[in-house]
Amino acid sequence: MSNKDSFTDLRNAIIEGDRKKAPILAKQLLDENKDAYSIVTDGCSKAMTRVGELYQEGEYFVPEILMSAKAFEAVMEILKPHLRAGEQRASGTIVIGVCEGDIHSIGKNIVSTMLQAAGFKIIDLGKDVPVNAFIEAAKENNADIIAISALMTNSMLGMKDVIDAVRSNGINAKIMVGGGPVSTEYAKQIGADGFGDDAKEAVDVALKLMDVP
Amino acid sequence: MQSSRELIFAALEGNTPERVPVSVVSSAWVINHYGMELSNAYNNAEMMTRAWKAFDKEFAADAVIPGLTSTAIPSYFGTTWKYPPRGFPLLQEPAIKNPSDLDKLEDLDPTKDRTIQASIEHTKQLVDEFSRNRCIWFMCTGPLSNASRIVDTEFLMECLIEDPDFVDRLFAFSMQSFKNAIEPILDLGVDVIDFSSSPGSPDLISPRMYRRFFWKLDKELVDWIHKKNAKSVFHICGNTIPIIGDMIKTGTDGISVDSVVNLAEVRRLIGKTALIGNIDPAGIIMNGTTKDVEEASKAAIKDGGMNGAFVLAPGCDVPPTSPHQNIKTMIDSAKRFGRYPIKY
Repeated sequence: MSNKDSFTDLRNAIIEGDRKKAPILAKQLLDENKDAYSIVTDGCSKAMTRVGELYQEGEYFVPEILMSAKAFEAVMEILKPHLRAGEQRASGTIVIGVCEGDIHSIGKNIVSTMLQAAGFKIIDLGKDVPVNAFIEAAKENNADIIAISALMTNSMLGMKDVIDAVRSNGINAKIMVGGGPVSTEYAKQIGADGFGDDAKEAVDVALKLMDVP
Repeated sequence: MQSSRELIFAALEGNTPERVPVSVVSSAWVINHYGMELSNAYNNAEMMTRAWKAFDKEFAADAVIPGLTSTAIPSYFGTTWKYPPRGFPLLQEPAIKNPSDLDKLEDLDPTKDRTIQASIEHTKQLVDEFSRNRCIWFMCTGPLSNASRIVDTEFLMECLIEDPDFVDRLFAFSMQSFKNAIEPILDLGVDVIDFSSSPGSPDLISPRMYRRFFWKLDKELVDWIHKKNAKSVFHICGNTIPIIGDMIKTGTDGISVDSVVNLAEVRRLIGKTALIGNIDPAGIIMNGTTKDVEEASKAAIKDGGMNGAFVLAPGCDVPPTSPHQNIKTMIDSAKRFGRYPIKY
């Protein structure tokens, strides 16, 4: 974590998953005339990057990372009206969802929040998403990336159907996959462009797919 | 020659049976294999019994597995599901969305639920038919797994941090409901109760949190099963190595481990406690060849069961779309390669 600055308390509140305190601190920063965009980049994004690291280091587990995501979302609710259109770092647009036949959405929700924190515009289709819904949302939103999640092994097989449909519909989006049973090998085998083993990696992969350094 | 039942009892008591016993712990696969819809079969004792009788005749594994579907207890309290044509049930709306809703739920009365009644009747039919030879291995989602279907898992994860008192109350309530539902089944004389406690997995929560919220209830359940004169098999999904010592301390007879767990490592850690597992249900049983299944079975026997205290089984529930040749190969592998002393 960087040295103490105006955003330290906010970052700590998000890292600690305090969804009551975090939005109050964000409001205070706005009242102090801090720029909403810097609150996102220097406060929220950095905090969520640290949360991802804590998970990778084995310090954080799902409840901790989930509460940080909730704290981040609570802050974004405060900041949204103050962010001018086009000002959010436009890393790209991602359509994200859990495969048809699978309702395990915690992992997807965490990845979705982390991607949002990294500056992506997120179209979240939720859970048990049919192939067509991915295709329609990708067309409608001119998606740069389609991110598909699965926790159950039998629903994971549906990822290939989404990828095949994306290609056959001439959609130009990159595809990334992730979730419990998914591996690098499986991702390659079904023709995905990227695979993230956890939420932090998912952000790294998404940025790489967009050629963001 | 030891009967199937004797083979499994020897293994669960930490001894070396004549050969490695094998158990296909998946009623979803069996019911699907005989062309039945899960949502119909779970309410119909005769259908389930017909499927298991046919399975026993065709495959001759060492156990028959009556069970109570993961949907039964949460549905009793109001959780709703969607049933895909082939596959596992998908939770739609949980019974409880607010902690205060818990106080409105009444204790579970097993006589008021037809799925529980069907399970009791089905178990009785299997006990009558098979208890002389086969092990009657009752499989069910445990009370803490049910808790994450009475509420939404994400909500449970939040409450572990923000509302620990509610989690304690929810778990105690779910435990009592479980005992109310399962007691009539235990009284029929089943040999094994195989239960899961999957939200406690280190893939989800920290070992510290497992010890704080889960362990005492898992122990209470093992003690209760023992008091009822049955053996306990305890399953948590995912990589359970970080809490395997805690799981052993519940006093369970067997630990059932997922396919991601290294059997040789877990064998070193758990001493003579029986190990159940852990053929990869998706990578090997669903997508592998019969050769892959045979190799994986031999490796599992070698890593987990060189000196007994081992039951060859899938690592977790078997996807209903898995080919029957692979199930057959797993069972045959235990019989062909599992004769003690192991010689390959």
